[in-house]
Amino acid sequence: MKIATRTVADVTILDLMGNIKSPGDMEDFSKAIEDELGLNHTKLLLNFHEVGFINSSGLGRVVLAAKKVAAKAGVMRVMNLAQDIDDLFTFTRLKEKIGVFKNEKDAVESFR
Amino acid sequence: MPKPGFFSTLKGKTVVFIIILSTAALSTLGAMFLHTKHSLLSEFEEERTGIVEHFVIETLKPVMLTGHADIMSSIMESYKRIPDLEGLHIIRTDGVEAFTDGATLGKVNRLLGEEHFRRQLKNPVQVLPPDDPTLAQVVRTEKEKVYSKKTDGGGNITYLMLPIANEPACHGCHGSDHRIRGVLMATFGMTSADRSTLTDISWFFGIAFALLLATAILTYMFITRIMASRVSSIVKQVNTLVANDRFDDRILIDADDEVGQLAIAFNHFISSVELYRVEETKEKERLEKAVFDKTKELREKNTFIEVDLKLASRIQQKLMPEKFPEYPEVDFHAAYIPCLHIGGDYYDVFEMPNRHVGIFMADASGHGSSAALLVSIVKAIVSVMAEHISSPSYIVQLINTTLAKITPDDSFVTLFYGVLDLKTGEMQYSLAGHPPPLVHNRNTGEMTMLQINGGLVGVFDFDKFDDSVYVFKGGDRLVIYTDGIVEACNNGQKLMFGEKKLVEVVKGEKDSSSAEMTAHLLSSLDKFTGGATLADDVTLLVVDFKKQ
Repeated sequence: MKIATRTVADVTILDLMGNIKSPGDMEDFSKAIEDELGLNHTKLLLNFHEVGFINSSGLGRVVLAAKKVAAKAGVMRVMNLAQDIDDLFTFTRLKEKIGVFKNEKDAVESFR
Repeated sequence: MPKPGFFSTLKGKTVVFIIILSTAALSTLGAMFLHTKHSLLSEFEEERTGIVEHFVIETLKPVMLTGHADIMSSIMESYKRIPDLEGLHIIRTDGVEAFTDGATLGKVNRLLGEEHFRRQLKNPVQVLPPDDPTLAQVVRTEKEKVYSKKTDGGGNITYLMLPIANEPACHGCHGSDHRIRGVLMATFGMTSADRSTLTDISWFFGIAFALLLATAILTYMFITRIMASRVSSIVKQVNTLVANDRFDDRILIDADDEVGQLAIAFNHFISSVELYRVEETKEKERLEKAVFDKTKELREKNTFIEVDLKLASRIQQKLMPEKFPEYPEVDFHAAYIPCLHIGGDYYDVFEMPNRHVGIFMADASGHGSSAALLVSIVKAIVSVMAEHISSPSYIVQLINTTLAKITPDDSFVTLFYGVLDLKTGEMQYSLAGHPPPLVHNRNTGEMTMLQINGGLVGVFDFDKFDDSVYVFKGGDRLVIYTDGIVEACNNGQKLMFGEKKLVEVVKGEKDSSSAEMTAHLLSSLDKFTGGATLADDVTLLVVDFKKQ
């Protein structure tokens, strides 16, 4: 998968592109998170707009990322989930632990 | 590779060498020629001077003393006896030629029998300058003088100057004055014999020069041809040797010269190449053997792992129910297809007190041995605790607390656990991150999803899980599955089987038995994926409530 990084205000937005299902996808995702934390970027917003599918392992990586950010006293949120992925976040109750937003404006605002 | 200049080649160097050698030889030859010529000329001059002196002293002088009336005829008679006399002048003390009248010259020429003196002068000719030192010396000393001068052509002319004075026998033509009146000057060149000798010498050296030059050229041609031929022979042998891959052969060495040394050096080189090839072959064989041994070892280890995994797979199969409890109210059927030997899915149906039945399904994230290990722990907890605790959410809570301590941060388990009261058809259940099971009523066609949101098991130890209740009716079909079914992709990996298709198949099989529906679903799945290897474990559990 491809991941582009940009900053809005003091929020680092990671634009995820592609599915999160293969070991390579997992590594790319985890490395991107590690890189941002290495730069002390602790306000992370994952943009799922270009993500079509995430399997259970991918979900595990998202959970792991949320835990690592929290360990650094940071906050991780997600936005622009496709309906299937939104359902997944719902029935796994991840929505209760990771803030999920429908658009970037609300998501960035939530960090203030 | 840049082409070498001509003088960098062997041929060029040979040319330079022969040119230097030839130049040295020819220079030596030329020097010898010049030396010889000079010696001969000196010798000729000495000899000629002797002759002239003899002529002057012994012949001319006495004649001159006889009186000038007969001088001319006497001189001419003597002159005939002197070969190679080139000129004869009788000049006065002032250097002007005497006897220049035509009668005298005619007489002289008649005497000579040829026209030696062609000049017909009406006026006297200045033969020598009036102050010629030699003339003045001869007049003053009254002694003859012989000397030589170089000519413009490179030869020598010998001059003879003889004082002429009136002698008493002169019959008083000049009175009693016997002063020196003039000089007889004769000039002599080389004799024809001398010239012939010099010509012979010149021819000799010329021929020697030509022979030397020809020898140099022939030597050059010979050396270059011989060397080129031998070098070509070496090149040909090398090409043959390389073309035939015969590095054990050697080049023929025909002489111990430079070319031979070249052949010897090349033989050493190909010996090294052959040695290297032998070593390379040995190394290759050693590596091949190492690869073979390693492959064998890996194959053996792989076989061991395969056997081990098959054993693990059989053990895991034993964790699943071999047969389901039988009740008149319900019928169970299940399918489990791990994508590897062992999987991370698990299901169970077990009897509980008071006509209760436990229905369980779990799916560990990922698949393979790590996932299998996680669900084994889940199985162990359920087996021990289910008998004592009736609340499904409590059991799930217990599993979560346990797994949260031991699972890696990115691992978790999703599960469904329901306790069915066969007496009432009421099922208390808990759902933790698991796909919502379907309930399809085969009588009415109604489709219900057992929605209750529970978190992932083993992620956060503080998570709370809830129970919910569903009351089954006659004709209901409960379909519990893992995400391996809905997330199975088609061959192009673009489309997923999905929940919608699953619902369609379930609805379409309302008149089929649980086993037939299961078979049809798996068949549809296989058709959808095009027979491709599954990316995740697939588990399906169907519970049919009898139609009323």
